[in-house]
Amino acid sequence: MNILGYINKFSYKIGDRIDCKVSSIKNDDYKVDLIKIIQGDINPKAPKYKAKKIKNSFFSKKFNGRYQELKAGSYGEININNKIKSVNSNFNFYFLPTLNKKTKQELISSFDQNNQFSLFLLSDELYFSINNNEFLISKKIDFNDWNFVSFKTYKNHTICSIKSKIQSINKKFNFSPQRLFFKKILISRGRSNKDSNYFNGKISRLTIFDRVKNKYDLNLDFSLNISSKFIFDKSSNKFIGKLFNHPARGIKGPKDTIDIKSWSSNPEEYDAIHFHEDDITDAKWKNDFSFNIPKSLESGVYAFRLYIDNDDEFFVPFVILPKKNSKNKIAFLLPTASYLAYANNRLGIDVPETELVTNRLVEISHHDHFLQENPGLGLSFYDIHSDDSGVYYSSRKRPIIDFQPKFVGKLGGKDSNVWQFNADTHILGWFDHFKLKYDVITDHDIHNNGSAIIKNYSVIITGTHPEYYSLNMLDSLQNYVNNGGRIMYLGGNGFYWRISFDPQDNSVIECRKSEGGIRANPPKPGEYYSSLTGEYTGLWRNNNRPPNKLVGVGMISQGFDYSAPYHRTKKSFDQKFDFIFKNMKKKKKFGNFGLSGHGAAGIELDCVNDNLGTPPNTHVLARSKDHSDIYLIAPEEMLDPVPGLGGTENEKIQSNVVIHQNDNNGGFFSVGSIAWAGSMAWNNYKNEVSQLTFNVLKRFLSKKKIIKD
Amino acid sequence: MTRLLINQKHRKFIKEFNKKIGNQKFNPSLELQRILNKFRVGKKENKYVLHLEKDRRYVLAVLPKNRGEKIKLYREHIFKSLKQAEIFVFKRRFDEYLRLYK
Repeated sequence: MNILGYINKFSYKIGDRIDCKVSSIKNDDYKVDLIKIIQGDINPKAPKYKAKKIKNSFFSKKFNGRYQELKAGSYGEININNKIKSVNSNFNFYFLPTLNKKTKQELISSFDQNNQFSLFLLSDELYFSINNNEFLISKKIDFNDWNFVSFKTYKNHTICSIKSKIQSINKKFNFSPQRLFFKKILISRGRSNKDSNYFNGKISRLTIFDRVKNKYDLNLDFSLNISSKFIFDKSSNKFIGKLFNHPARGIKGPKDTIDIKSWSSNPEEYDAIHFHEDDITDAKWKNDFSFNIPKSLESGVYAFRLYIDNDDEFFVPFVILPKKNSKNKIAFLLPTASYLAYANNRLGIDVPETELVTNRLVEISHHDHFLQENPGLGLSFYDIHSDDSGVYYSSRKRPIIDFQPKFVGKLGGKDSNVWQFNADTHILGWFDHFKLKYDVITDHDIHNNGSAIIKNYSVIITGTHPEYYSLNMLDSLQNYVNNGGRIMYLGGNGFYWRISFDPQDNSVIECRKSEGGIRANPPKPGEYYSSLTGEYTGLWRNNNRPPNKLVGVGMISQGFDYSAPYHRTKKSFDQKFDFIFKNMKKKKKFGNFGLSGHGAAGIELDCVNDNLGTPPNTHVLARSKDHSDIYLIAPEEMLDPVPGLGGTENEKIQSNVVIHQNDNNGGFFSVGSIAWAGSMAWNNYKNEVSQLTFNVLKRFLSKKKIIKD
Repeated sequence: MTRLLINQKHRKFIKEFNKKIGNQKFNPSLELQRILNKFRVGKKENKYVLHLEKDRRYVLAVLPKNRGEKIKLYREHIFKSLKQAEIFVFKRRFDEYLRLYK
């Protein structure tokens, strides 16, 4: 892989300009195609890969390739413009390191053209340096608790103190640097752009006190405006600093009262920031080309195909939103928030459990090699930081390797092994096969605009795995259904985690997986609230909004080896459901095929649950069984760990196909399985799962009642 | 880590593995599944994976310890099918485990 790129957003309107940033690793020139993505799965058993090339003279030219660096690392920056000059000052702060490294980690640095001060860790030793002369302060930094550092400068000497639970020392140096702070202060990194020496850990209560004037020159309080990307100074100087790449905020500082659990009600205890060397929410690449979306393009999923040659290509997908006067009645809701949650996930190469849950060897491609060799691409919510802490933020403003057609995933089941975006192209291909007219909108659009953007559609069709939802997204869909809208939920494990969008930059989302659920890493106790909005985080079911209330079914189990067929319920043979099974053989079992584990029910399964709010009159049409023991009950369902938790024994492990009509003629059809769309695409979309889905869509598009009495 | 201690007697499950691994739906016996779990659990360093070539052949590969390091390919071990690769790796893991813990 020698070329990659990104754009800042997922969706654009007609007339919008898209700015694309490209890095050509070896500075090779490259070309760009504009394509409409129809079907992105390249498995030989799948329908043929299909992308429609859009003619555009602009894209026939060769672009000059240039390398742009992928550089992760969060930090803070304050311009003090040489205003802090006192020789007799106290410089204090707290820090809690979270990664013991053999290379430098700079906690604080300050510099101008002629001067440089830095305080850094090397393994578990703390040093300071002045104009490249290094001095040891302590040989044993506490990695389990807060360390308090004090730096007192006098006219002819300097005293450094460090206090923690494991030591308390004062060290006198018979010289004085006179001044420590110059034009700029950097928090959690060094001066050099090449070797930034990012610090991994937490920093709190950074102050500079002028002993002569008896006043603070700088008094940073990280508990102020936690949801912003700025840091504030309570001294009379009122400096304002800026944070880069979203270090974790809403983090408990040195004062940690067990009873305090929310930063919004008790911000004073959340006066720390957790920095990571592998945080990245804005790659800050320079723009390479722009494209104005012409009126002639219909709504759909498009991509810039950047390529050096036919084998060396990278796709940058985006959605063109519907025109205001669109007459289309189907809206495909592209789960872009979930794409962000999985963005650049290192399943298979970094998560050793992958082979256990797939029950087969992990298959990797050139994409995985690139991901492995380029940690600067950043992480997903399925990874952990290099210091083993959880990943809370994900952003569009970086190249996303798995957000491409042709991408082969890790958990998508035997055969196609497609996941998220590329799995959703099975549905796009299905639209194309049946020549259905549809518009595409994204999670980000629903979050921004609410139900107004979807109210005119007869049907909303989801992707295969719409797992991550904000409150506004969930409310919008619920309002839509309550007011007569109809949802076809063609996936599994949907509407599961609560997320928040950065109000200042909605290319960034936050997810803290509090309490329970299937997760890579839990947040620390007391840090269960979103730093961006103050919302309580975790599963939607723990936020009193189980997915069952919206679509009848909710997460019950997952397994990634093979998928299973469905068995129709007795009820489904009632005449009133005949429209669903029209043009299908009248038999009990269906869906024993597919591209995602060779069955329609698989990967992640949802089922009905009255206790979790499945609406009355939700009709279960089919249930899956015959799952393997790789499928286990989801942790939130396992209140008491007893034997018999696997798919061969536990009757709760089943996907349910359900249909529901509410009093306003709205309703839902839910399949509760990620593998469903892989079966729709089987045999070039000519099969009973595809037919069944089409039958339901036809009824949902009509103004008739969904279920006739 | 799993508690199962694997010894020479467990080699009899190689036969079952070889017989079933090519099935569309791989359903190992409980004993075989436990052996597989034992081999598959643990750190990523030195874990076997398969690099899928454009011609859909598989190359044996091993994961490195740290992010940023290259995944090592063993081009002397190329397989035409997933089944062939699985059989090779399973036997190799047996040999390595028994050599290590004899």
